[in-house]
Amino acid sequence: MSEFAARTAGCLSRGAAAVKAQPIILMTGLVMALLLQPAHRLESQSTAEYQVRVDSLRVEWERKRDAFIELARELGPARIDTIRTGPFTVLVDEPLVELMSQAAPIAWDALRAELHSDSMLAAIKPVYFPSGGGSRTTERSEDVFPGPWISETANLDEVVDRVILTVGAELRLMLDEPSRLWLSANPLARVVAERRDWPGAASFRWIYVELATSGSAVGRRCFDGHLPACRSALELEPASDPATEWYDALDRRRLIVRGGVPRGLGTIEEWRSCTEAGDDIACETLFRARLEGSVTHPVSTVAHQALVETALQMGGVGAYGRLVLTEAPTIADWIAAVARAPADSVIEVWYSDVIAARPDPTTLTAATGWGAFVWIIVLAAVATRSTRWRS
Amino acid sequence: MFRVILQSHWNWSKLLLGPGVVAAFALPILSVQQINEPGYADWSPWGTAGLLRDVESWGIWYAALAAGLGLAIATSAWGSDHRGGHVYALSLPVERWRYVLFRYASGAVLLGVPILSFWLGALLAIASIDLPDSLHAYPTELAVRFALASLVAFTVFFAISAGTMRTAGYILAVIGGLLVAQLLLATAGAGVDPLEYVVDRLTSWPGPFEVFTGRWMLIDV
Repeated sequence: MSEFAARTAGCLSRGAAAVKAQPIILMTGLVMALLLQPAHRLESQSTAEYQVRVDSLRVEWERKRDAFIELARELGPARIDTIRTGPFTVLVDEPLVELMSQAAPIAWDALRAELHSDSMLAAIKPVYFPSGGGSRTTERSEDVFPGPWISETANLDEVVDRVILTVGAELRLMLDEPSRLWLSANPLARVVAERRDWPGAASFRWIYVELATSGSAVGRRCFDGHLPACRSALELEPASDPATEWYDALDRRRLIVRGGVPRGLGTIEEWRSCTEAGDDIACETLFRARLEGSVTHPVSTVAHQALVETALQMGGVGAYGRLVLTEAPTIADWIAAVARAPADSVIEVWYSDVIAARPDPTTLTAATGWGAFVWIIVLAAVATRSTRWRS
Repeated sequence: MFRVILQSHWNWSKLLLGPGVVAAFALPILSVQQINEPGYADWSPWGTAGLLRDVESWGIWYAALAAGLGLAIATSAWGSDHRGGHVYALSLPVERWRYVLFRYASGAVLLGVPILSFWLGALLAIASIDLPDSLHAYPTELAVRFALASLVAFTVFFAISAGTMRTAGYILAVIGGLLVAQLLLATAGAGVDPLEYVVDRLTSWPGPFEVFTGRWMLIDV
């Protein structure tokens, strides 16, 4: 027996002796230690140490990049093939041709079913997908939309997803900068989720909690079903005075308390008058000073994006085309054009979706309850199998 | 016979049970005490979201109390048998399984007292506060969860206590072995974490301790 094994056996035999003394206490201690073990302690590092690590990573990255470029030079330019499905064109590196020949028609059918718009479909540029980690370089062209690299070992579904999501990214870039904020990171992610039968985004559940616990008066009124308040909270028209339109005196005071002692935005006397004496004039002054720096919006961009998703679903055929091509004076007009319905109707549907998405209370789920019940029965049955003879 | 076992179990555990009952009653009330203070809405900087966070921060104590009560009652159920070398059980004219069941049932009945106390405390706590319309109270759901968690803890420790020293030794050896394996693998830099895997399986559904984890919310959306 090795020295280590002997030591281990010694420890275990000492452990067994201890068990004889107080088995329950030891067992309890170990079980509780297992359950309540703290997370690994994080070691702090100074900025200088952090900088050294970042620098070393940068050097390593540059070294790897140079090696890749060298390898790409040795291999020569990759051969690119073109795959056409209707008006949709995909360019791929040679190793991906077979896979993409199968994937492109499936992706195209899914895109056509979702976009329903000839003008929109015609606007999609050819997409180029490199293979093998992007080690080979190709000439860039404004007429070709660059897709992500695809592994040669990817399966058909993964390639179809990549194509759909790349077109989604292209679609997003067709919008101007402010409009993009109203669109989720990839507007076609839902298509992929539906195709693969993945659970949909939990955004409406999230918005429900956001409104139910809103720190702005307009958000709370929206939660209570006041649709003009929802319109205001969603900022379909620019607020004339956010400080009073979105927030009441209590909200303003809370935001000032939360922000702590002001630095360059108002005086300490004003801060004290607001937070300690509850003087709303002081709160409003400080609040307006802060608004100039950064606006605290009544709802998050998730709520905005969910509204556009609702409009797209209401809009049906051609909705994506109108989303990209409509030039409306206000967001409300844009939403109305996409949905082919008044903006208030879209808000009404959005609101009912939010309220319908009320999350289940987390206090006790049926699965947890039944799981615990089964364990109680099983362990109690195990206990009854214990022997009366001690050893 | 059950009455006698229940009576003796009560005698052995009443000193532990008393503080447990008081704690179970007081905990839900304490969890909303801050909300109950005059002007909470005025001084709480996070408003309703802060209220939920305050309530959530008490969750660990609900789980700890449930585990503690289960342990205390399970330990007291077998304490005198262990001390007396299990002679009393051998002298009784009943099958072992029936005797164990009586012991288990007496523990479960005694555990019912703090559980009932917890439920009453939760109901009282909710009755004492004004909630915003957007929030809801779940005193009964929380009490059911507390009951299940207490019973799981009680049953686990009861089953271990009902076994022989050898059984307890085996369980301890498995846990010890796991710790040693974890240590060796970590030292060797294997990148495998068996301890985390086992704890994860035990504390996530359908593991036995899943009922202890997650959010214990007396108030939620």
